[in-house]
Amino acid sequence: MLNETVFLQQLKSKNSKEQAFKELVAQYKERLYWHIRHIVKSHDDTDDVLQNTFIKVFKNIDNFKGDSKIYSWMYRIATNEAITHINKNAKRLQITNQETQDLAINNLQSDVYFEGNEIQLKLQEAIATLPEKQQLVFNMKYFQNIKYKDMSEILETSEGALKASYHIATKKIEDYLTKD
Amino acid sequence: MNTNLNNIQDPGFKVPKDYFEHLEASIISHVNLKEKVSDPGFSVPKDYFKNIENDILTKVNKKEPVKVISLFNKKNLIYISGIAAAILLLFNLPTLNTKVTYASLSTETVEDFILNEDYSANDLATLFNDIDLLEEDGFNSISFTDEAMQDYLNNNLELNDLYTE
Repeated sequence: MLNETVFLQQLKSKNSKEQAFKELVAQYKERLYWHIRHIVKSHDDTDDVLQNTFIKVFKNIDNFKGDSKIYSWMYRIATNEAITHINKNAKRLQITNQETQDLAINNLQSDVYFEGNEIQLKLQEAIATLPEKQQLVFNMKYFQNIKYKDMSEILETSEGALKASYHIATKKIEDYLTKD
Repeated sequence: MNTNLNNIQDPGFKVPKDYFEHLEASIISHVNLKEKVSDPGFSVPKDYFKNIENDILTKVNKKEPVKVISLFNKKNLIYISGIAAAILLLFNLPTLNTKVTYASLSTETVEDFILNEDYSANDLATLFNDIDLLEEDGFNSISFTDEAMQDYLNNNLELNDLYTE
């Protein structure tokens, strides 16, 4: 991709906006998809959230001042959209957020787009027991291998706190998997 | 300061407290976990990433239809007529539109007002100017009988008051 400042100008310019946005989608669709998928679990929900994320990016690009990288700005939008999606589902079903997550894990067993075995399902159960922030940190590091520096910008948390959070999350998950 | 290289034993770097202990535990946990499960097991429909791009671009380029709100639907008519009625009432209610004149006030109303508002004789005197009290206006032409004058003086004046006058 071009220099970030030039690219941002293209995204804001009326003449080049569409082409630049197309490039942005092509560049980030898979990364954002997996980021959202690890939060909401089901493919259909992920598809909804991903499309909403990109539509929001397109609509708000003119207001983006470039204080952070476009990459981390988009990840922040995707994270918020995914969490909002879970909250909406919880409200619709009149259950707690934790119950919504448990439901999503239970649904994985019959999900055609989940090919995990018993241990992979158990890993998802273990992740669901973590606090929201630890879940995000664990998924971003363990499955997506995002650098702590980038994660720090996305989650607006210090690198030290993220490392500690990841270590605690890993330990808890390991304990959960070995407890039986 | 001794700048001899042989005397510089410590490079000055530091590590956070218990760093190596935590590092070891962190690496072991990570490795153990990765050995057990490294792939989340999620999959995506065939050609999903190929098609999603077009889906997003179509949605983004689709102009949202402008919603036309009719002014003359039942709900709006009720609101508008309600507001109009309120304005008409405001300007036409007789209680809000009555002009008060001295002529329309009864003597009792004026008396009650003066008594209730606690006006002193001096306050009342300031309401009249010299012209109001001129002879031509008939102030001096009012005739008092001697008896009425005597009764008034007996009832309202103390002897001391007359001395001070």
